Amino acid sequence: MIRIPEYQTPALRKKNLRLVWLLIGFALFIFFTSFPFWTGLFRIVGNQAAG
Amino acid sequence: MSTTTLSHDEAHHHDAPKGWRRWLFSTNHKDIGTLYLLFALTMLFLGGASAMLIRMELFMPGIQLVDPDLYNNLVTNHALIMIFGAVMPAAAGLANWMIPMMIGAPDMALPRMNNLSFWILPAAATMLILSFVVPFFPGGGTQINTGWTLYPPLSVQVGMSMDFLIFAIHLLGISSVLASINIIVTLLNMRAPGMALMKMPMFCWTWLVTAFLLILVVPVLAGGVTMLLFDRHFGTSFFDAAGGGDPVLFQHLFWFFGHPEVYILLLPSIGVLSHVIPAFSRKPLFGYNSMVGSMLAVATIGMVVWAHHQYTIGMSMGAVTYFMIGTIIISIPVGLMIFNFIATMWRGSMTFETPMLFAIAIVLMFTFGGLSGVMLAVVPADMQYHDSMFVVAHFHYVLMPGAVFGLFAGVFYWLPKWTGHMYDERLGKIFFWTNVIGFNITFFPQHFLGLAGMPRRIIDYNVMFTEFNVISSVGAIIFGLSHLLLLYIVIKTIRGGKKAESRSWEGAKGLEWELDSPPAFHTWTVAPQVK
Amino acid sequence: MIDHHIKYQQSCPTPADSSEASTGYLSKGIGGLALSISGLLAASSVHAEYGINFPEPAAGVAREIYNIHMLTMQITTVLLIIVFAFVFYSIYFHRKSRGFEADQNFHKSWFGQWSWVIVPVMVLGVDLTIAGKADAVLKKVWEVPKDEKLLDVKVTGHQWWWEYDYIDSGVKVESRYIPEEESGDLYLREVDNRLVLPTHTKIRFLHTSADVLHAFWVPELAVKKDAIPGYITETWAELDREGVFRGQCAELCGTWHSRMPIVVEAVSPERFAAWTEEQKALKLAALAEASVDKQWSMDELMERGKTLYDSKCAACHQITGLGLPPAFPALKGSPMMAGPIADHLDIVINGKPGTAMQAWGTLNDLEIAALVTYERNAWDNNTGDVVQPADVKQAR
Repeated sequence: MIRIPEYQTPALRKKNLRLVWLLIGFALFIFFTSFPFWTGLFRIVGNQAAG
Repeated sequence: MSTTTLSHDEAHHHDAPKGWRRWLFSTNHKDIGTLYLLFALTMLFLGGASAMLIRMELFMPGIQLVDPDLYNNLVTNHALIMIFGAVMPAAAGLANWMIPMMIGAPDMALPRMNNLSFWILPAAATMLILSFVVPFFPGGGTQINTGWTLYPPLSVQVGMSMDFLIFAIHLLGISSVLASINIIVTLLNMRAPGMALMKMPMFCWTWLVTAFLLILVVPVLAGGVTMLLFDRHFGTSFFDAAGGGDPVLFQHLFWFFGHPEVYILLLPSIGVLSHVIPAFSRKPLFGYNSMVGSMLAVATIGMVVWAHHQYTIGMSMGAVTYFMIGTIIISIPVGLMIFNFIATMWRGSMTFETPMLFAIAIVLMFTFGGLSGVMLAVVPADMQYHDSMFVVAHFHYVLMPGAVFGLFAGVFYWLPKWTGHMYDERLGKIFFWTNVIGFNITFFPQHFLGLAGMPRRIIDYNVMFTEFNVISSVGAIIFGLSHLLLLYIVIKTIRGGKKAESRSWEGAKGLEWELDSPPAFHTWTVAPQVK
Repeated sequence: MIDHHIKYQQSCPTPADSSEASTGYLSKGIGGLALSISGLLAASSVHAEYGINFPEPAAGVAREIYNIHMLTMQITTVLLIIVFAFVFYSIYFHRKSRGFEADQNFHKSWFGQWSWVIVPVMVLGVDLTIAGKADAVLKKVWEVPKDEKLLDVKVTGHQWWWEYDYIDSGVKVESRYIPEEESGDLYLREVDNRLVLPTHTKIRFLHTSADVLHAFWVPELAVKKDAIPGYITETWAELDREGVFRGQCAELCGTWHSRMPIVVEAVSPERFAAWTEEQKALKLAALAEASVDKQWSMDELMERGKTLYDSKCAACHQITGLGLPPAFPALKGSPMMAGPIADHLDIVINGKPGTAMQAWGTLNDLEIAALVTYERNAWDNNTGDVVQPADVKQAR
């Protein structure tokens, strides 16, 4: 069994998890926006439109 | 600085599991760090074996050992295994071991997620190896002959092994994002009282920046390969010009990940250097603030210059000018880092143990690789260098010293702390010299090959390229075999050796050296007070 | 040492010399190893032979690029020497074994306080020098000159050969590597049909690809752009001397990436004009032959078919017809060969999407008829089928 170490007080745990969810949300945001964002930016940067 | 509060009782009544349970269910940062390092060492030999096969094939003109698709698959695997299997896990292993000890934390902030992010790696490695093995079976499709860049449309032609690879990349990505989240949370929430951000050891700073970079760019790669998967199987045409898509879009996605990835590989080693050079110069790090600043600058500018890997795709002149100037500007913060290292050595009282030898080699050879990088950044000249062996020589000069030698330096520097034994200094020095000389014999001649007109990623070449390829392959044999010595030294040190003191090196500074060598299973259960 | 030297010169032909037999690789390799050790000591004598730098440029664009390459290399070499000098000075003098005491206050001196400004300003100076020169060169080479008469050459990359279309004259050249038995020491640097270009004429290259990415690279011309399916990228050059210049495909394009040599033959504009007329005449003759309404005999078709197959199909399906499964299926004993002729014609004319099998519809009716007849009867396939150009015309 994977145990929870003793030093993880509820307060610290709560503080940590809040930051974790924030960072996971950030990563997912980048993942899901990568496609539309990049197609758009590419059309601006490149001198040739896709297709 | 602080009082050592080692609570041995803690470790006993905790009743840590023994045998395989200790490792599989581990939530201990030291055990997970060890797992990461052992995994990286295994992968180093796997990636090294594919590199040796590549060099042996290129020893002579003609096709002798492998067929072209297998050759290109070895090129692909060498890159992926070294980057995702060896360097990143090794850096994560150092982070796991050292960050809690350096900031006075009892463990990582999220021990169970730590366990998960390691144990995803063997699964990912299995997928990666399957992608290599599957084509050998009937109906297994073709080998992945695309190189690690996986550019479509070629990657759409490849058989099912590409799907294995895509899932391997997804797993590797999830693992490194989780590890990064853990490191960020640990560094932000778990520092000992009194340790302000600007008092944090440099290694922690470099990892903080690296972790943010990983979270920013890895999902983009995941997005790119997901689109590739959809193009292959679900009839989309993100990257297919015939269907209204765009093959170049993948290159942008890939290099938006790929260029910051270079700094992801480099920065942890810069962090190691910032500890090794002051320790063996017996003098504090020169310019802590400017180190932090230039690191942030490198990471920021590094995010917006990705297209210098694709100067030849036919961008407008405005676009290439921007990417060229951005790329050349990176030399400012990087130059400042190198300067700070030299200024740390300057007027120090140096001794030359193995970690310091590697550190000096990095300063010299990374400068060399960085300067050939400035040459490559010049757009018109890149029209010649692009995709030639010159590029191969350049990035090995950046990544071997910049990333791998830094990890070697870190391993030798902290090995006494981890094992409680000093490694054999004489063997360490022999390893250093064979490694560095072998490396230079291997990669220096490749500059000439590239300039003379040899493209990269070819299995067979004209006789005019024979001489330098022979030299390079001979160097590769020395270079490759020297790593067996590393393995021997590490095993020997784990098994025994001279007892290491708490402060294993005369000039070593930092909280980790306040602990015993080897440290207790649980350390800093009572946080030290940092003044 | 002299021995090896002579041996080396024998086995490294000049561009004009292509017939020389290849020496044994093993002896060459060992010779090369011995030579490399002695050669490093006598660096001046090896320069011309090994090629440790770009070859002599043959176009204005390439000369500009060569100069900026040399300039940045010199600047970076100077910087490298400075860094090495400081490090080695420090290593020698500031060591504990010499009894040197560490200066714990070095970072607190005025220099330590202000170095974070001084160093970036110095590096910025170097950067601006390089970027300024690079920008000037970029303006000269990057964009094709406008409002001028240009010779347009469309360069199409295929797996694994090059197609050159002279758009103005309609001449088309297919360029493939030559197997080692015929090309000898120029193996992988020689092709069956060269890209013939006139000197002192501004040439615009239009790069594109029929399948995957390729890149057209001849160091003497220094124009490298990716060939991307669905895109046309442009480069230009004006050749300033005659000669034969060799290069290779530079972007990984699959199995036989190594077998896509490029050979440019630069000739005078007069000779180029004559060559163009000759090619046009050949093309007309071939078309006339194909459109003659005649029944071709099996032997005639088989003979033409073998020539075509060996140059166009054998790279993948192999001379033996055995292919390289799974990527390239065998034709020998393949059900396709014994099946309906219509299906066979369809795959040859239209290709097979999603695989390396491309459409060969640009061949004329006679060529396709010969090819299909050959494939259906060679390597013990022996179906006895004879496909006539009229059948191909109908199938299109």
